[in-house]
Amino acid sequence: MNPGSQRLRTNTGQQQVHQALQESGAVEFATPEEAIRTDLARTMVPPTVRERLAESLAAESAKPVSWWRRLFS
Amino acid sequence: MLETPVDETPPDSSMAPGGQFPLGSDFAVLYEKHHRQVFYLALRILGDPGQAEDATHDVFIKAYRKIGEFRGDADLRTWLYRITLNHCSNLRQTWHARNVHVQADDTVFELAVGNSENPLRMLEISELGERIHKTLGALPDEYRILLLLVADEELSYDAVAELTKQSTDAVRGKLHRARKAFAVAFQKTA
Repeated sequence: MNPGSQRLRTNTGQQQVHQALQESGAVEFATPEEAIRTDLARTMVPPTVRERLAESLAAESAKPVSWWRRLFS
Repeated sequence: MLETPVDETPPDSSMAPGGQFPLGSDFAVLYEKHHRQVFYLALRILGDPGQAEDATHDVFIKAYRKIGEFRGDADLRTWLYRITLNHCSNLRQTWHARNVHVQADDTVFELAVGNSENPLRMLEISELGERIHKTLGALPDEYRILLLLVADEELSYDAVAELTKQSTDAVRGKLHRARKAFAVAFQKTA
């Protein structure tokens, strides 16, 4: 078999698979990192984190300065 | 990799004199820029959204308390990741985590005849989170953390090496095996 025609057929096969994937809504990732980055982009951080953090930081700022900090400041 | 806490001393101390950043100013900028990555790292290490939420809150509280010692923006992401890794490590060292977590057998991946050169395919993007969760959960800690860190394009291999306390060459070598292990595990989650 002609190696050139075999490679051409393989490439055509890959293109068909790729096209079929696109049409079906399927996805493919070249590397695990690519899949992870996509997953990260799709992951929503719960807004409660920010709210809780704001409350905690407000409490943190309101904390009285300890006697030894006052002594050495 | 998670066993020994790494040094959390900030690399520089000129950025935030006094460290008094109310949410709504510089600290809010820092939060907006990095919170998604911190949450995601915690989520994929701990495997539980609730725990990841708590961890993200605690990491930023810790960062707030220590940011007065921070010296520059260049390694801020690395510094936050360091705090996150240490925090998750502490959480996972509880009795429950130690006993419930099943350690993956590295040799399974070493001997697997998976083809890591093929693209990772899936039928529905909506399945991605679950597949990534299961896949990473099946990997040894070292591979999981390595892939999560390397996936962040803001982090250099040197920074990853520093965070995982190994040489850059070791990172590159292990990354190859980690990718292969991921591909094998990913196929099994289909």
